[in-house]
Amino acid sequence: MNSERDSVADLVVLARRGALPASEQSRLREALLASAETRVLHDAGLEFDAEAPVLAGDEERILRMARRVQRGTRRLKISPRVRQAAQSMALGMLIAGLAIAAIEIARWHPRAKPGAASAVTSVHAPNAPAPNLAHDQRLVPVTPEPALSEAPQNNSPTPVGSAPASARFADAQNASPASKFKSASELFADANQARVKGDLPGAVAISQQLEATFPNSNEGITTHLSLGVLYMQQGNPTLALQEFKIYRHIGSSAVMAEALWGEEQALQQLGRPSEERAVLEELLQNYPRSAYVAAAEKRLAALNN
Amino acid sequence: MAGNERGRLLRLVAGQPPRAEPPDALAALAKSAVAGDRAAVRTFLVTVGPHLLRVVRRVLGANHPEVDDVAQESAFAVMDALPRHRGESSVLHFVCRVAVLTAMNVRRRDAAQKRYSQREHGLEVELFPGSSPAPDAALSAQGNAQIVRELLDALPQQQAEVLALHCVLGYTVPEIAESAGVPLETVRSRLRLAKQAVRERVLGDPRLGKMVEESS
Repeated sequence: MNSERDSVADLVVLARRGALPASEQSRLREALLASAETRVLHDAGLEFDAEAPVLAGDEERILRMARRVQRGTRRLKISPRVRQAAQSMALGMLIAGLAIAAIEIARWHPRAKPGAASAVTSVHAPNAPAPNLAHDQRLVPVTPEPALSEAPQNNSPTPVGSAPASARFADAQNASPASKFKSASELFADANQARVKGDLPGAVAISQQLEATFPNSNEGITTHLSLGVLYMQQGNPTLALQEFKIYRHIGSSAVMAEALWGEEQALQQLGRPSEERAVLEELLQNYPRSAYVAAAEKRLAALNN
Repeated sequence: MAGNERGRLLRLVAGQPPRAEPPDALAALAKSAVAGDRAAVRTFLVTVGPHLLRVVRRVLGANHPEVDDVAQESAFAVMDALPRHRGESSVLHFVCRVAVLTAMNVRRRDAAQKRYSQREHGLEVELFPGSSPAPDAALSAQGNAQIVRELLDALPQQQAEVLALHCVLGYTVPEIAESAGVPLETVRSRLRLAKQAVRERVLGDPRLGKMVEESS
C-alpha cells in the first residue's frame, strides 16, 4: 500500500524531471484522473519548474551574498514600520538642519541685524536701524572722517545728514509708505523723480531705503553715487564723501570719474587739500578723456600754486 | 540505507540498471569551507547561490520583496549548519532544505503578523465586500503553485516541509527522507496528511474545485 503511494508521488516527480518511462505514463494519467490533490500537486510542480531559474542581476546578488557571508555582516532585517519611522526621522532632521543653516547664513550676512532672521525681514521692520557700514566687508579701511562738529558746515536748510541714521531711515519709511514693497528699479526711479522735482529730502530718503533694502543690486550700488550728489546739493560734504568713497570701491568703472570728481568736490568743501590733490591726480591719470579733465587740471594748478 | 532507497527509485526508470552512487561533487568543497578556507567558502557560496535564490523564489514567489534578504539569510544559515551535515544526503539537498526552511519561516512569520494585525485592528476582509474579486482570489486563480504556497503557511511545520520538498523542489519520497533525516514511513505519513489538506482545500473552495475539473 505504502509502496503504491510512493509510486504515485514518485511518478509525479519523475514526470516533472522528464524521466518517466513510456510504460509508466498511463499509470500517471490514471492517478491524476483519480485524485484531485495529485492533480493539483502535479500542476503546481510544473508551474514551479516553469519559473525562470535565473533572473537578471542574479550573478551580482550571489557575489554580494558571498561577500557578506565572508565578512560575517548580516543584513539588518528592519520591519517596514521601523524603516518608515527611521525615514521620517531622517527627513525631519534634514529639514531642521536646513532651517538652522538658513538662520546661520542670515546671521552671517553683513547687512543683517542682530536678532533678525534675515535681511528680507528688515524691509518690513519700521524702526530698523541704518546699516552699519563699518562692517561692510566690501570696503577697505579708510581714514575716519572728522566729526560733524569739526567739519565746516554750510547752513543747510534741510540738515538730513545731522539726524541719527535710524531717524533718517524712519523718515524714509514714513515719507513713502507705499514704497515698502517696491523693487530696486522702482525705488531708483522714485528717487530720480523726487530729485527732478526738487524734493531733495524725499530723494535722499528713498535712496537710503534703496541702499538698505537692495544693497547688492545695480541700483543700490549706483545710488551711492547719486546719494553723494544729493548730499552735496544739500550742503553735507561729509556724508557725500562717504558715499563717493563707497562707490569707488564697489561701483562700475563707467562712471568712476564722476565719483572721483564728487569726492574732490566734497574734500574741497571740507578743506582737505592734500587728499583733494591725490584724488585729482588719480582722476587725470586714470580717466584722461573724462569731461572733468579741464576742471581737474585747473583745480590742481590752483592747489599747486 | 540511503543507497538502497535511491536504487529503488532508479528502478522506476525502465531499462536503466542500478548503478553506483555518483560522488557528491560539493562534498570536498563543503569540507574545505567548514575547515575555514576562505576561498573555498566563496566558491561554495557562488556554486550554491543560484540554488538558494531559486528555492527562495519558489517558496516566497519571485516578486516577493524579501527574496534577496531571505536568500542572504539562507546563506548564513547554510554556513552555520554545514558543520552539522553528516552526509545523510547530498550537500546540495542539504543546502536546498535549509533554504526551504528559512523561506518557509519567513512566510509563516508574515502570515502570523498579518493575522495579528487583523486581530489588533479588528479588520476582517469580509467586512469590506466589493464587486471585484479579492486580490488573494485573483492570485489563486493564477495557478496551483499559489495554492501550495498558501498551504505552506497553514500546515504544521513538518508537513509543510515535506510538501515543500516534494512539490516545490520535486524530491521523491526517499530523497525527502534523506534530506530531512527521518524514516520513510514518517515522510509518507506527513505527505499523506499534506495531500489530505490539499484535497480539503480544493473541495472546500468551489472555485478551486471547478478549476481542477477544467484542468483535467
